[in-house]
Amino acid sequence: MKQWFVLFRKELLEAWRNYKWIWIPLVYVMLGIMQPISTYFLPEILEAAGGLPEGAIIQLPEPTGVEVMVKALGNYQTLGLLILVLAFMGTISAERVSGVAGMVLVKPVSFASYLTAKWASAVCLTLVATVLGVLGTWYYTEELIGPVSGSAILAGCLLFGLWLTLLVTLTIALSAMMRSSGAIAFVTLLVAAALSIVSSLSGTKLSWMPGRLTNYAGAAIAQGGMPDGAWGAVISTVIGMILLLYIAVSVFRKKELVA
Amino acid sequence: MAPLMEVRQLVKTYGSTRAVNGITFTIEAGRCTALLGPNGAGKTTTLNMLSGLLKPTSGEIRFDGATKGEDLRAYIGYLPQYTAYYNWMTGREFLIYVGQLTGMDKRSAVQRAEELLRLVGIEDAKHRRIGGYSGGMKQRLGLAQAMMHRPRLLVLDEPVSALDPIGRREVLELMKRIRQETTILFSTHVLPDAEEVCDDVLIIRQGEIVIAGSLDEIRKSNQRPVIELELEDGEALADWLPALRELAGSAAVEQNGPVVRFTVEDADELPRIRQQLMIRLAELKAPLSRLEIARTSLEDLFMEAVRR
Repeated sequence: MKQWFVLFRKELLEAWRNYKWIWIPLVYVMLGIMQPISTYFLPEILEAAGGLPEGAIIQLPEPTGVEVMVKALGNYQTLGLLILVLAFMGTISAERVSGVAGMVLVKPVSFASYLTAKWASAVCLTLVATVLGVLGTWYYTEELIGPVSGSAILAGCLLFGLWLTLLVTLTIALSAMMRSSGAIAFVTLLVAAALSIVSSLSGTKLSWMPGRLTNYAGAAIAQGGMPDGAWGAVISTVIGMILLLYIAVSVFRKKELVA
Repeated sequence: MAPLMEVRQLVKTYGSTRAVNGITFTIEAGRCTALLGPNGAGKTTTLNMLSGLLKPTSGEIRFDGATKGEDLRAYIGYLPQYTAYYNWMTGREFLIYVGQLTGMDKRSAVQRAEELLRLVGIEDAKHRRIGGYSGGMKQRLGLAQAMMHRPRLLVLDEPVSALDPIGRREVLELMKRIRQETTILFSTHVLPDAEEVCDDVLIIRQGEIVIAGSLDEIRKSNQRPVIELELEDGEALADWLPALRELAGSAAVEQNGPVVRFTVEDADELPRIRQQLMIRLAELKAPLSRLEIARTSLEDLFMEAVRR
């Protein structure tokens, strides 16, 4: 356990030294607050863009705070996910390619600790970025658009954070099994898209699918608490993550560390 | 006393190629052993198996004091052929990190790191990032990191091959100092490096050990007398050569420019060959410029062993 904390601390330090702790939360805050700000200034933006005939009247429906928050989560679902995958795709594969994984694993270090310490550090970063982003977005939404309840934000943030955590887990698990960063990113994004599509096509069936988490996060914000059926998806996601980590460790252990 | 490490019938295959083909050797505690062989002989593969980075296809590695199947990584310090580091760490940070990974507490890791930084001579650079280190400094840091947890066996893969003459000299001197305290096994394809620092050699060729033993023993048992003669005029040599070959008997004759070399397989034959050769040379009025009776060097043995 002591060794695990040494590994974990090194991961946090590394993410700090290469500024991941700054730019990832920053991107999340910006992606989030863009939504309420651009919604608020939409009439001015349209006017400034010009091209409208003299005397045209634009009627925009009054947006609610809930709508804006849900749209902000949508930004995380696309660009936010891409950022995370790019940031973490090389977590293990890059260390293996450079040879530094061999330098470390030739010491009496357990493969499971090596991998889970990296995973824990990435998950910390993901959750901090998501929470900061959602808090920032919430602040601007309350100021500019309209109120959203705190418990709704909390539930939505947790559900969405879990979804991102699952995909970060997948990225790191693939990073332990594959060498090419490009392939790792591609497979992760493909799986994310597949999960979302399956859950949206399956209607009311398969309500426990991890892909449902994003829908549940939206619903949680809209109705101010955990929606029905969300717990099933939470449980299946947690089980999925444990399985992914287990598979990654067993595959990684069998891999030869040198070419 | 039981040997520190015993390796039996170690095999590593990649598909149909046998990179290491059943090698067996032992390493005695307190000695420095060189694994010597040309590029591609299987040196790195062997060392990677000893250090646990590769799994042997078959065979057995036993370590004194370790139970069967135990993780040997705790006993071995390893310097790979190509070192790689976290370039964002400083040299000192990396050593402390490695020390803590091997189970040292922070205080003793700091102490050991400072000690080793001094030993390998990169104390001045200890607070600089490793990304800015030169090749020689990285190699010294590599030695230091391998020694952090006071391993009982230090395994070094080509520790001086990538260095310039100065860096190479420095690392060799360092190895001479380290060998006072630790058993060392290192690989090299350069014979003089092995001769300089080690007690024992294992010569490996195509995944098999061809010669093993202490340097002195090998020198003694494989030395054969050599007669070398050089003529003033290299071109005239062609005319003399058949006559010289005749009296060589069992000795091997080699010509290289104006130099002829007789390697005498049976040392008892030396007096006869020498005498006849001198008589013959006098008869032929050969324009001799040099005649030398020497012994085969380790270099000759090495070349012969890896070429065979």
